[in-house]
Amino acid sequence: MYTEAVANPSLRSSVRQRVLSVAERYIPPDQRNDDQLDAAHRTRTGILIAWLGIGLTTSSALLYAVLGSPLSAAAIASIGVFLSVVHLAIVRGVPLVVIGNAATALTWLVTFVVASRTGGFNSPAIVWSFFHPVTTYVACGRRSASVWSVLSAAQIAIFFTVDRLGYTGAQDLSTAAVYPLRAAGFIGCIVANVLLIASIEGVRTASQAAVDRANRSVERQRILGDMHDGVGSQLIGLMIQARAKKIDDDRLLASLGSCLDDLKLIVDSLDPGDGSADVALAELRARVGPRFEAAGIDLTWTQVGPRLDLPAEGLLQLLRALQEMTSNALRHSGARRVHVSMSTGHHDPAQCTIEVRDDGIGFDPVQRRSGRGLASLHQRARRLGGSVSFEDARPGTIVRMEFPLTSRTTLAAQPMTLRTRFTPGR
Amino acid sequence: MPTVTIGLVEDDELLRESLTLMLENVGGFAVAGAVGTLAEGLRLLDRQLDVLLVDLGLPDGSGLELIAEVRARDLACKVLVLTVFADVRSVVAAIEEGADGYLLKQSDSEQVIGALRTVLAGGAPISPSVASHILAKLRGEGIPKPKGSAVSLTTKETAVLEALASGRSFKEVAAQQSISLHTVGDHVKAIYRKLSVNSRGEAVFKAVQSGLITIKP
Repeated sequence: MYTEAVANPSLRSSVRQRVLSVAERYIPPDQRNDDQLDAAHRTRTGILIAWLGIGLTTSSALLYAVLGSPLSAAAIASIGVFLSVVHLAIVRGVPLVVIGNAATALTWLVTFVVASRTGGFNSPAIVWSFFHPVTTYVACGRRSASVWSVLSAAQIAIFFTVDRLGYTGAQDLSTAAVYPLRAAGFIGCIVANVLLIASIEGVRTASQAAVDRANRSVERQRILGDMHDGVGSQLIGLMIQARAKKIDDDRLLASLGSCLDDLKLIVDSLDPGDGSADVALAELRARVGPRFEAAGIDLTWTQVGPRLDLPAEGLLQLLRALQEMTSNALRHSGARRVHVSMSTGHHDPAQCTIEVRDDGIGFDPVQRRSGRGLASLHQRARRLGGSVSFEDARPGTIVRMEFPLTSRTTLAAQPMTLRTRFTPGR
Repeated sequence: MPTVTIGLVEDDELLRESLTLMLENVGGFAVAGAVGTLAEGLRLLDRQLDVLLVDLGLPDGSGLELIAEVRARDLACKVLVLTVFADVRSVVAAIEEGADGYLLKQSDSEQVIGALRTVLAGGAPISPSVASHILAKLRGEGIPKPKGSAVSLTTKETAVLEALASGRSFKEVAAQQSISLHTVGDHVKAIYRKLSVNSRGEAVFKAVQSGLITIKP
């Protein structure tokens, strides 16, 4: 599952990979939009911090217990207990901001308890206060971090003032025990901060990869289902008719040709060359062009507007609609000239308009309403969130399809960005 | 007009037979051999062929090897790749090996004859996605360029390729660029040749880089 993450050179350490693979379990597979991507990233970060915190608190609690402050050890252990249930809270949907701030509040209190039992301002626990702003910044964002910077500074200031005023609090530890504990605290905080910062980029990459994967698979599922219902059932229908010898060769050929056309549209929509819809549209244009030429119909094609980016599903609907609109004009209009014009957000940046205009026999709405081709055009327009209209423009017909270029139709084309709270090295 | 001798390498028997039948029924074409494997295809090259139609996915290897062999022996025969959708990857790979174009498997006899005549007249078929892929490739996206052997397209060739990539027909491109239909084909042909030279340049470059071959000063 972690191929993308492993390929990232910033993810060399197997420990980090293991942490990530644990975090992976808490990401639902259907996270598809930007907000959820952000949530995925933050969830992973939360899990990472929780694991880091459990390791640190367990070792500190052991040290304090051994060196003679059981009360401190118990207080520190309470943080470990809290962090060990963080993953449950995340799975239940508790926001990371709440969990992160609760954990920091608990750690702040524990720092207070431990420091007051182990020498006040001279306590080795004071150093932990420097850890709070960084972890909250990574897990909860800037606002929480600034609050905890102030609170941590206040805590240090309180102990400093008490110390200056000459009060000496309880001291569970011997002088000999303070120095190694202080050293361990310093080193632990530095190591933890460095680990955290170094892991964030990897976590970010992994979150992005997971969401991309989910996006692709949802899109693929939809198109595969569509293939079964479309080309698949059409082929079966043809097979049954051919077996019963109930179809003549011309109709069989025409139907097989349309199956092949649809298959080509599916392939193009899934593999749109440079990533935009333009190559797939060009392929369609190049394919229908010769058919009009063979029928002696003059086909012109204009496209104005910016590069059209559509997700595969939207692109497939658009290609099919265009295929149907042009083949209707080719087969039924009796036209000598057909003009296809596309405006991809040219007149209205939020709107795509496709118009197929012919100079043929015109359109009789009553007579043609029941047509199967028209029903499916309406359906395609609906799936794109738009509409289709037919205009009798004697001589000829204008078929116009419009659909909005909203976030729904352009979703997959937009590069997903992570609102990373902390990006080291930038 | 002399008879055009055609070799056909296609592992699908039905398609092989129908193509053979189609070509035999048209005046001016003779099928010298229709085979289904790479090994037989290689033996087929000993005949004097004018056109070789080759499928890429053969049971005992890739049709690309056959194209490479045609170019290695410096045979005059034109090579067309048989494909279902003219998919970019296989067509461009074949062109880089020195193929002259592609032929869609589902084409009817008129289209097949049309494509053959185009190729024999020195033209080359191209699809919009192949054109846009070549544009991207020759603009040097992500490929280290060997010094001296890097090829670039002329302004006219780039304009023709861009027009083809947007789905315009040869006729439309000719009108748009105020050149003859024949010249459009010539441009495509020249582009294909450059692509094939480029890929060979790249291959040599990579071989030198990886120490497979050394160039004596």
